[in-house]
Amino acid sequence: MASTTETKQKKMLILKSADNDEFEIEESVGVQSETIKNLVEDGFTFVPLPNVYTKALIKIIDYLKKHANKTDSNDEEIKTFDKDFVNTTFDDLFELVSAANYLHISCLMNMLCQTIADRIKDKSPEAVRKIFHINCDYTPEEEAKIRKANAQAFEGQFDESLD
Amino acid sequence: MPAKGKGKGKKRGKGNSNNRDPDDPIPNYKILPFIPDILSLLPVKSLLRFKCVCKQWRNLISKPDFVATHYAHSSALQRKVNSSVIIQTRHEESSDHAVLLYKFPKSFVELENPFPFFFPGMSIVGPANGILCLFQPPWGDVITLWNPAMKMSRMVKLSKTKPVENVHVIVSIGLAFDSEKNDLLILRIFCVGSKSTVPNHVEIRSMKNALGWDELKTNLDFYIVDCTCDAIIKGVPYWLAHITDPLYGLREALVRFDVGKMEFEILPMPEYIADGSKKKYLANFEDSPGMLIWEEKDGCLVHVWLMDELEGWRKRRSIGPLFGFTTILSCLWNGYIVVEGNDGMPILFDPVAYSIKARFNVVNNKKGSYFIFECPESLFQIEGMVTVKMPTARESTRKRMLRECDPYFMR
Repeated sequence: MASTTETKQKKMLILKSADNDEFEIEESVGVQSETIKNLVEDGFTFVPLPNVYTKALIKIIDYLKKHANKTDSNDEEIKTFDKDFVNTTFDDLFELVSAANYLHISCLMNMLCQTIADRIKDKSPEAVRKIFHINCDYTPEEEAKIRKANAQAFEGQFDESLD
Repeated sequence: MPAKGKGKGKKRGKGNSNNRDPDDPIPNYKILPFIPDILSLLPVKSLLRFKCVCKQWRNLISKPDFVATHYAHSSALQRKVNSSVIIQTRHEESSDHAVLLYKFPKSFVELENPFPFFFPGMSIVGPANGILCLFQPPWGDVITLWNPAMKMSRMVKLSKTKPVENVHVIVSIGLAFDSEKNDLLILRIFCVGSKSTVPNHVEIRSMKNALGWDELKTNLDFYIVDCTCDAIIKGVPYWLAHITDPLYGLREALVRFDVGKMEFEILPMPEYIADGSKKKYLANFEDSPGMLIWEEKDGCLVHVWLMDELEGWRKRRSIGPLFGFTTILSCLWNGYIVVEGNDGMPILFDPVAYSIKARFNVVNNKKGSYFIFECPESLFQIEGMVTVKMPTARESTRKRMLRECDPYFMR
């Protein structure tokens, strides 16, 4: 394993989550986030993240570590990691997309948005409302009118499941 | 990409200051600013359905900057996976026009197209921002704008201008998109022959201008022989044309319509074909003009040229030698080419892997009647567009359609 002397030479950062947990990571891992990179360039080594909760931060650190070690040979391994990473509930994905946006990690942001889009594209409006916790603010007449105007989009069967 | 960044910035601002119902119990309020990022990745059909999720979503899906971001995503997807290859052909027996959507690996779906199926000719120009323009050559009659993803269309009335006998040889139709004004423009060029002493008569129709067609004065003399523009790149139409050169006489040139300046511009051709003896196909290569040039013989090489705005034409590579094809029908955005095989059927060919990807054998369709292009899905709508209805009873439809089309003909 890596020797202790080597570890000492690496620059480290401390990230603090919204629920006050602290995580030590290598600077080279952290700077994949534009937000962290800007702070590091200004000389910070302690980074408070008031918009990112511990649960999401642990997953995101995992992601950053994996992607920091990207080489030509572990392409498949990273693909598998990414697939597992997004295989979670909608609420978790929303939490992650919120964190990825705050941290400005564009590749993660794109992957999460694409995952959510792929998972909702065949769903019914009712299922989408439940997934996004949206209350319908149309009157039944208004909704009927919109459905009629877009009748072709309602042809066929839709996925009613919430996962 | 500047356009994308701009769109996102705007959306974020809106999302943060959204005027949601205060009683709306959304626990994940933080995610609301990212809704546009997610929705802009969806197919048109899903988005039309999700308009009835809530008012906020409906408003978002109709906003011009959202429509633009969505089209940028759907165009990027098109480059990756050819999700929307459209084939225009004619039925073997009836000769009716058919427009089909090809789905990989080998199925076809006939699209409900708004053009009267029984007219003798139909040409398609586009897409510009996801909109196709159907019309009847050679005089550009029955101009019909069509959004195939949204299944909506409208016809456009012509001006009173008529071609002048022995002066105008054809009307060439071009489509342009002005992203600054979010406006679709139709160009109708009354083309003169190469011995003409008068310039082309050009008319332009801005779809935001309810008043109709405007004449566009131009000092440039160029000669077009095709009834459509040859490519549309970033909303700008390009034509393969001829110009009169004081030194060399008649020679080939590229003409484009600068949407910002509202004027035509003449560009050179690649050096290689200055003599005009080769076949050529103008293509959209990653939002730059590209040209495929080949000699009309078996076992020939196809040379691929790319135009850089600053450095001009550069030869990128050569493909081939290719055997058993008669012509190049299309060049897709991902670099695949569609050639017409010796049997008249289109073949999709990957020039890098040097392999055949698909054969577009549409049952019951005329050989050699194919026209192939790509049209990424778009949410762009033009005022007055209505849902396309597929005709039911043939005879009555024909009569009704003829009556309806009457005002859209040149008389």
